[in-house]
Amino acid sequence: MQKKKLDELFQEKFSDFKEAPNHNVWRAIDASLDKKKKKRMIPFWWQLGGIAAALAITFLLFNPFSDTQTNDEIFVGTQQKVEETNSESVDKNLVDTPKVATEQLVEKTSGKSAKSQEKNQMTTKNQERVTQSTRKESSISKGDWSQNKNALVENRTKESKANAKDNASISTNNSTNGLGETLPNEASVENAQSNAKVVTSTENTDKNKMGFKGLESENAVTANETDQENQEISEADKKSIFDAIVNQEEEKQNTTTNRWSAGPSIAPVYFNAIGEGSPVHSIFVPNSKSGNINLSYGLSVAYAVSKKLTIRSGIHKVDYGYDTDDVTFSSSLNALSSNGQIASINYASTSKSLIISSKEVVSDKFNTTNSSLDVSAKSAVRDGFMSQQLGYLELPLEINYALVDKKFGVNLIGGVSSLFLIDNAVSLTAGELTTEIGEANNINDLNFSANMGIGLNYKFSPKIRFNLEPIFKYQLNTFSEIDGTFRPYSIGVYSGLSFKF
Amino acid sequence: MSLEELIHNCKKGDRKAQELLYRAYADTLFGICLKYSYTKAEAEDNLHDSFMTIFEKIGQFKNTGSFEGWMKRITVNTALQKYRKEEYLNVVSENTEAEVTVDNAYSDIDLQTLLGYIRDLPNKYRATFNLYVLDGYTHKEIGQLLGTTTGTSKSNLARARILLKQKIETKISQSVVGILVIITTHFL
Repeated sequence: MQKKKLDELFQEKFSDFKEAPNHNVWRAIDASLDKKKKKRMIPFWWQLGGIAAALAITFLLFNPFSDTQTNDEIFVGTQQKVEETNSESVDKNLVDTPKVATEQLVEKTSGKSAKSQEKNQMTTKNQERVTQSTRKESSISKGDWSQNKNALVENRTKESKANAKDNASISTNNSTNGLGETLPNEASVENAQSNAKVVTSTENTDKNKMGFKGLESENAVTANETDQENQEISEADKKSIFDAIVNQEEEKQNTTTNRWSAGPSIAPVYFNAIGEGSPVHSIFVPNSKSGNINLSYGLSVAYAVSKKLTIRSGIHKVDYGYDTDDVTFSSSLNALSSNGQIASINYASTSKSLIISSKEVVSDKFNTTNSSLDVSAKSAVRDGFMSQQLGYLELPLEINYALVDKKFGVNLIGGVSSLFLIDNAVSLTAGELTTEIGEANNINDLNFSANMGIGLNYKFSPKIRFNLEPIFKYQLNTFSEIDGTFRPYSIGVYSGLSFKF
Repeated sequence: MSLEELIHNCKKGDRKAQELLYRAYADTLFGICLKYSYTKAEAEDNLHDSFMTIFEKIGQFKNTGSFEGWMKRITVNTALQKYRKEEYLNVVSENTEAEVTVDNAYSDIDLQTLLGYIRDLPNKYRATFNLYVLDGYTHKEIGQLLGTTTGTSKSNLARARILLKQKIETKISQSVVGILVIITTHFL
C-alpha cells in the first residue's frame, strides 16, 4: 500500500477550512462593543471638564487683573485596583440550566435505541469538557467581556436545549456517524443520560449539518424559532446572572483591602481676588491689592469607591492673606472724636487712635494729611500697606477621577470645602513696622469654596504614593458685605504622601 | 463597499461596518478557532475575543499587508494566549525530524473526524501541530508564541504527529472490526 505523509493528509483537508459560528457570537460581540462605547463616554466628558479646569487655572495665573505668581497646593487621593473574576457564578449558572434541560430530554431519549444511549455517553465527556473549559475561560477572561461571554454561554445552553426538541426525532439517524466508536460501561447509562442532555443536542445539530445536508434547511428553520425563544428566556435569565456577578464582585471588593488611604499634605497657597473692590472699606476700592502666599497643611483621608473613583476628605489648616497697597496712616485723637474708624474693623484696644486712609482717594473722614498739623498727633503720617489675614480650618469633600492609573497617575479633582474661621486679623505695615489694627467684622465664620484641580501621583510601592496636586479653590462667601467686587480665590499646589491601608 | 472602505468605517467605530466585517470573515476565523480550541464553546469564546481585539486594534492596521492575514494572526494569538503559561514536561524524542506517514487508504477520512483528533491533542501539541503544519509558522516563531524553545517545539510536533497517526489507524481498524462483526452476525 502506498504511504502518504501525515502532514499532507491534514494540509489537504484543512486548506480552506471554514465553519459558520453560532449567531449568538455576534450578539455577544455587539453587546461587548456597546459596553465599551458607554464606558468611553464618561472619561470623554471628564476630559473636557479637565481641559476647562486647566484653562480656567491658566487664565487666572496669567490674567490681567492680578499680578500673580504661581503657587502650589497638594492633595492626597487614592485609587485602588480591584480585579475580579466571575468564575464561580458562571459555574453555577452553567450547571443549573443543563439540569432543567436534561430532565426534558431524558423523557425523549429514554425510548430510544441503545445506540443513542451510547452516544449520550460519549457526549457526557464533552459536557464535562465544556464545563471545564468554560471554567478556565471565565477565570481568564477580562472585565468587560466576561459578562457577555457568560451570556454567550447561557445562550448556548438555551439554544441547544431548544434544538434538542426538534432534533429528537432525527438524532437516531446520527448514530450511524458514531459507528465503531468505543462504548464504555453500560451501567452508567443513566448518569450518562442525565449529564449528556444539553451537549447531546449541540452535537446533534453539528452532525446534522455535516452528515445530512438535506436536514440543513430544517435546522435553519428551527434555529430561527429557537432564536426567539432564546432571547426571551435568556433575557429573563440574564438578570440573575448579572446580579450574581455583581454580588460576587461586591463580595470580593469588600474582602479586598486597601480601599482606604490617608496621609499628610502640605501646600503653599496663593490667595487673591477677582475684581476691584475692598472688603475693608470703599475708600480702598481703587487701591491695588496683592495676594500673599501662605501655608496650608493637614491630613487627607480617601476612600476608593471604584477603580477610578475616589472620594476624599480630611482636615487642613489654611491661612489666606492679601495686602492693600498705598495706604497711609497716622495716630490721632481725632480718630476717636471724629468717628474716623473703619466700620468693618473691630479695633484692638491698642489701635483705637489709628486713622487709616487711602492715597488714591481723598476723604475728609479718613484724612491723615491734616493730622500731621494736629498738635495731638502722636506720630507723623506713614505710608505702607494694609494686610488682611484669615485663618481657616478646612474640611474638603472631593471626588477624584483617575484618567491614568499606572506607576504614574493623573487624576481630575473636583469638590467643595467647608472653611471654619479660626483666625482673623487686619494689620498695617510701614517699612519694618507692623501694627495690628484689629479684626474684620464682616467675615463669615463659615465659608465654602468650590474646588477643582488636577492630581499627579507617583507610586513608590502599591502602598505608598506621592501626590502633587495643583488645585484652584473659588471662595463662595468669605465676606458678608463687600465694597465693589471682590471674589477671593486660592491656588495651591498640594504635595504629600498617601498610605493605603 | 470595498474592503478599504469597510476597514475605514470600522476604524470610525461604525457598527454596521463592524457587522459586515464579522459576516465576511467569521467563518474563516472560526475555522482557526476550532482548530486551536479544545471545545466548540471555547472556540466561540476565542472568536468573540478575537473580534473584540480586531475592532479595538483596527486603527493600528496600516493597509500595507494582507488584512485577512492580520486578522488571522490576531485570532491565532488569542487562541494561544491561555496556553502560553502552561508548562509541560517535555521528553524530547530521539528522532524529532523523522517523517510520519500513514497509509494512503486513510485519505478519505472526513474533515470533522480529523478536526476531532486535532482537538483531542494536549494543548501544546495541538497548538504546535496547527501552527507548523496547517498555518506555516516556523519552529522559531512557535517558540516565541508559546514561550518555549525551538527544541521543545520540535518535540511537541513529533509527539503530536505520533498521536494523530495512532488515532487515525485505530479508527480505521475499529471500523474494519465493526463491519466484520456486522457481517458475521448477519450470516449467523
